[in-house]
Amino acid sequence: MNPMTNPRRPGLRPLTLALASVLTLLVTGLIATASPRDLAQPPGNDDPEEREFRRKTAERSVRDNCLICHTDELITSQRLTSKQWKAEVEKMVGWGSPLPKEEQEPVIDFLSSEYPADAAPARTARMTYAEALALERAVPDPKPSAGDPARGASAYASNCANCHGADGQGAELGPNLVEKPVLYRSRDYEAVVRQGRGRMPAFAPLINEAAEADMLAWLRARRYHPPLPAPK
Amino acid sequence: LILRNRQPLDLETPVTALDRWLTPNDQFFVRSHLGIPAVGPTPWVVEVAGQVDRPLNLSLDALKGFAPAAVTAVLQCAGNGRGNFLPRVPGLPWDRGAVGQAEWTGARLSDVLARAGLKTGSAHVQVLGADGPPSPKTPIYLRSIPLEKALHPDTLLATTMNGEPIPVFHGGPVRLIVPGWTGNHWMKWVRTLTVSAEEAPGTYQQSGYRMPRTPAPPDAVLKASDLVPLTYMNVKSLITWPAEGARLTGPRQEVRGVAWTGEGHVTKVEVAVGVEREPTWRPATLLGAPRPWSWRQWRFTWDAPAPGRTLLRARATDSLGETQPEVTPWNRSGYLWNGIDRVTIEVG
Repeated sequence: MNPMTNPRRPGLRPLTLALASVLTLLVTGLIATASPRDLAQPPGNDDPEEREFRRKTAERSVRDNCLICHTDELITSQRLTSKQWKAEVEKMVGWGSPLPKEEQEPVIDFLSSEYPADAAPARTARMTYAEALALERAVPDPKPSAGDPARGASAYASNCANCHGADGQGAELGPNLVEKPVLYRSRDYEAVVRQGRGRMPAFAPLINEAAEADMLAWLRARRYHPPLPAPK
Repeated sequence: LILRNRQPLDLETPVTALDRWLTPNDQFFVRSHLGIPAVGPTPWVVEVAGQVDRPLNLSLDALKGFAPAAVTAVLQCAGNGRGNFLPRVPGLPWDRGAVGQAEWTGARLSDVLARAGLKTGSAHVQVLGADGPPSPKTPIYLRSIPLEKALHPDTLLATTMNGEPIPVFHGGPVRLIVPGWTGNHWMKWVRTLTVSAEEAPGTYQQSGYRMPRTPAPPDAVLKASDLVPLTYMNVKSLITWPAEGARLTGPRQEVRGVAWTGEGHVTKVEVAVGVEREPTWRPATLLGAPRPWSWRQWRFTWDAPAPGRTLLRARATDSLGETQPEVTPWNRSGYLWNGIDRVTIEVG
């Protein structure tokens, strides 16, 4: 059996790869610095392993900073020049993506080479209406939340507000939760809170079921009522 | 349905599902800007505020208390067909199916505004839905329509779509129906109507959904004053039968489709069979009578097709004298594609 696909070792592969890549980078970096001949060209740009490492790193930047708000089809379906990709990335940073400044150029390079203007259009998947409903729809919860919104306010403030904003309407790292369907899908809500999602850590060790229910009650009572932009 | 994006949800209708008068709700395309809000857990209220004498908070029952109105209208995303523009532009690469037709019923917006009482100087109605942005830095989806369109008797605050409560995917419980105008005006999950002397401020009204007054090449530098807001759709037809890549047998073949426009009505649909650069265009039969805001179904029959692969083309003309062009002039956001519709088939 191929050890890389051994189902009894889930999770090991990405970690091993990441460590290997870091080591590779360190080693190639050291070699590049040690060899005077390599000073004439950018370090490691043509090295396939280095390229692969840069690709993986950029892919992770995209996952961590873009897929907070939308899924990847929005990216993989685009066919753009690097100038257009740059404009899109800058727009998204302006719209709240936490992509750090130093990761922007590698991400633009990555997107421009993976999804260039001259590539064939992306293949599309099919989805039935029923499948979409199962994925998205806010079905009113059969059992109303038993939590106490007042207690939920303080639990939310100490556990969630840092990323999701004091009012629940999103901040740097956490998206807006107000009036979102997940608040009415108990199992999804519990799964995200307990196990985390993307960059969000698992709160299972920190939050008990009562606090979970209290926070839910507080979140459900929030309403989307934005300040309107100032007239021109 | 063709999956364009999982979250926010964007689904495209395969065009063969448009081969009928009304598009079923579970086949109708779905476009969401900022994600679908939770609908149902709390009673829905539409707030009417701004330059009015009597601000209102209308429940769904209160909306149903207005004189009922119905309109059968085409809803098309401004970016339908975006995937055809070259050079390519950013945005969802819709192909042919970000369009559909439904019967919408609800209250006339004009009746609702009359009850609130418009103050002098009112010129626009700003509309906000319940779909909040993911981040406070993301622009809110706030739009406005000029008062003249808002007061048109066919502009509705709709609560039903094809005879059922508007499904959440399609903007229920309350959606703004702006017949003839592109889908970006058809606000979903309507929460707040603000009567104002001004257009809506913010990205989605002031820079989004605008096109150059006259076509401009990709490298053109455009000033804000060169851009005008999208309003009416342009004339367009779709071949809804046969499907792309279909294999046809038999001596007599039928081509079917729909055609619509924003202002006025469709006066002619022509079909060409064959791959020639300058094909012979022959008239299709328009079914029924023209109805405001609705598409027109059409049919075209031809005999004894030569075996092999061939191209079907359709183009429509409207009462303003506009005809679908070979290729729609490029614009940087990929709006209003209405190039001649094409389907390649195999005659066996």
